[in-house]
Amino acid sequence: MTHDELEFSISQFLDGTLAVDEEAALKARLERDAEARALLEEHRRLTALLKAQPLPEVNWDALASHLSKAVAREEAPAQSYRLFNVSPRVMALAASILVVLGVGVTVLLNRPGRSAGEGLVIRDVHPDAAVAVSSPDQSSPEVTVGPSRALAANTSSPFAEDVVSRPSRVVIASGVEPAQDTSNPLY
Amino acid sequence: MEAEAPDPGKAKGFTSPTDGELVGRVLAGDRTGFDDLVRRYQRQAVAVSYRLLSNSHDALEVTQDAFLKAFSSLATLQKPEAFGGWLMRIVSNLSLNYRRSRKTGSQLPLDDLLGPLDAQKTKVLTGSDWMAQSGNPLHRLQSEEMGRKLQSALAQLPEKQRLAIIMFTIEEMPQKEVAAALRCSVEAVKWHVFQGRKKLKELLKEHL
Repeated sequence: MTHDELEFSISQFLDGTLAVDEEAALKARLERDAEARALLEEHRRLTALLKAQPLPEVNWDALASHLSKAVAREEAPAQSYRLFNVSPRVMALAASILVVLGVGVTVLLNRPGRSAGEGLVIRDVHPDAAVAVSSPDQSSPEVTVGPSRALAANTSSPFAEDVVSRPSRVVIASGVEPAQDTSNPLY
Repeated sequence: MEAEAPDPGKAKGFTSPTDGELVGRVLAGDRTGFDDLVRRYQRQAVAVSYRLLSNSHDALEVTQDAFLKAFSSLATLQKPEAFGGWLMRIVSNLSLNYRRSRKTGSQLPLDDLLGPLDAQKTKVLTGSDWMAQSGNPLHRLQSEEMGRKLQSALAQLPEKQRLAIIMFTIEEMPQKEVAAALRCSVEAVKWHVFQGRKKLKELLKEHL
């Protein structure tokens, strides 16, 4: 038996984990070997030193009660995940259906050929007027605004095209009466 | 000042339910089963955490976190009978992480749970309060000095050796529980204990 093997046996002997036959062999060795006995005493003192370390004074009943309350607080939000007492499998199925519906609606709304302004009637501006009022349907007349040719041709215009941009057509209102002031030739 | 630490559930009598039975009760919705597990393991949890952190307040906080974590993930425990080792693994992991990132202050009045002597102490214990109630100041200073040296020596051990010494040699936990906590075999626990002992003997040789 090497020194390490002897020390390992002593360590297990003190911990009470040494096999019965090995314990008998160790005891025989200890009887005849003073160095082995010294090693055993060293380990005994070390064990005593380790075990002599005290614990803090704790009110164990109060701690148990405190922990119980903390766990109860923890439990409350955990239960809220069980909506309507429905099983997770049913919840997952419902979530999948919602996702499929959502994707379907998105695809339908964004199908090719459908523009963002579909439904609006936008007409070209009359070539000789700054404001054109059209009434394709009496119930919803439209007013559209755009630059007139005369204005565009007027080079003495105080508005520089590179400073003021005039949109070619803008839908500004929809109603029975035109709200735009058409008396001003500029507009 | 070895604190009296009653642990009613730990003394498993014929009528005392096993850990597995208690875990089963909790999973079936009976939370009082967890209260029994708390009473059974709170002392061990505080002790292991305290040996690793050397601070009673931090040990209580880690113990609370460990029980909360154990409760919230109880369904993931594969072997309900191994609750003790599993809990100690949580305690040791939280303690080691806590040590790395010391928290500052607690929202919980945990000091109320400590005895008057411990509650009065500073947050970081400078050494062991070994025989702190000794009337002899010289004796007390010597024992505190010894406690500091022991803590320092333990801190120098590799993590598994330190945990094996704390759980098995000091706290006398069953080898199987220690093996579960360290995620190793029972034979490996014996080896870690032996290696740890050898290093401690070397580090503390002038006191042995």
